[in-house]
Amino acid sequence: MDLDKLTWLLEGLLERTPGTRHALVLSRDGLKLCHSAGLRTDSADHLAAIAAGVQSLAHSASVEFGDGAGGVRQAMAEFYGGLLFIVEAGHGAHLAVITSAEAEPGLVGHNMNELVEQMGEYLSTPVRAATGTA
Amino acid sequence: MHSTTSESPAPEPPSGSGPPGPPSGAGPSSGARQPASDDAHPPLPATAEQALKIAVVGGFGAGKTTLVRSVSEIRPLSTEETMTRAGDGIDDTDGVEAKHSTTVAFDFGRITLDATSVLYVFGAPGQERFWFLWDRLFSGSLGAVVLVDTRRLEDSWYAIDRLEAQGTPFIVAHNDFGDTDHTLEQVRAALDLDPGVPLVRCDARVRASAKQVLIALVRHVRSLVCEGSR
Repeated sequence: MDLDKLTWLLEGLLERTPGTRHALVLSRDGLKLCHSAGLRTDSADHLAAIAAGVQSLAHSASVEFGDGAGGVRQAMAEFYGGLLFIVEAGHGAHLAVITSAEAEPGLVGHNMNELVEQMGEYLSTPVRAATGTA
Repeated sequence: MHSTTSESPAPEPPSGSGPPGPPSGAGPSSGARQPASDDAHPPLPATAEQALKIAVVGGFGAGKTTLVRSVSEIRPLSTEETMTRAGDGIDDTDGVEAKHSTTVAFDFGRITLDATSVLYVFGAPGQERFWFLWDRLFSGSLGAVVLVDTRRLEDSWYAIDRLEAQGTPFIVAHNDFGDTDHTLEQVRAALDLDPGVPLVRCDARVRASAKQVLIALVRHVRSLVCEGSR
């Protein structure tokens, strides 16, 4: 996985999307894979764990109340001072973006999905091998 | 050897769901909504008025998700995700090599105690990166169960410290993974556990055993309340 290339793509997303502050790619079990330069390491770790939890709960909501197709298209949280967007990004990975309160949600979502398509093959986080070789 | 987690969170697709059930307070015979469910459960009685909350905490891989799943009478909410290679070197599976998935938010289950009391069980995620969720899970809870795996005792120190610091009543349950050459006294000594904290042994996979753990916690909380009111 070419993390430098991924990071570069994340920075590109921030540049062309007004109001965006941070972008992060995480594994579904809540670990950061790469993130934009402005995000401190501790915050990146925290955001990765948060986003994995939100996505997992959103998935449960989709199982309980969705049409059975499964999957989560996008999870979003709006808080004082900003917004959080999360979309699935390839097998076993998610893309999270933090924006200011002024960002345009439709555009952010559109650009995130566009980016996911662009980064496609970079974004898979393989499942761990059965034998614990940590 | 035992896996502490099952392979999949067993989502149930809503296969041709029947007519929407009557509003809450339906009689126990509205089984039509859950066809072919292995654990068809009666709906929450309309008389339920007392909701009690219990948190299940402990280290990574101690069996928290399994315990909530064992005791819940409803299909538990589970937020298990497959462990990825990003966790190599972070999520240490030494001793629990068969573990393939991990909780990333929390587990949630429910037990109806009697006509008026319902117990809600919240299982916390084990890894350090999710600890920030714990205080929210503890808030409003009657007490907590700390589940320990004697192969990885040190993983439970943080949970015990945090509960002690918060003043949340708790008991410790040794989840028996078949490594039981430790006596409970040895486990107590290794954890440096306060003599007032009950320590029990359980098999989190077995409903009856998991239930005994919750009963032990409720007894402990009751005795603390009785002491306090004396």
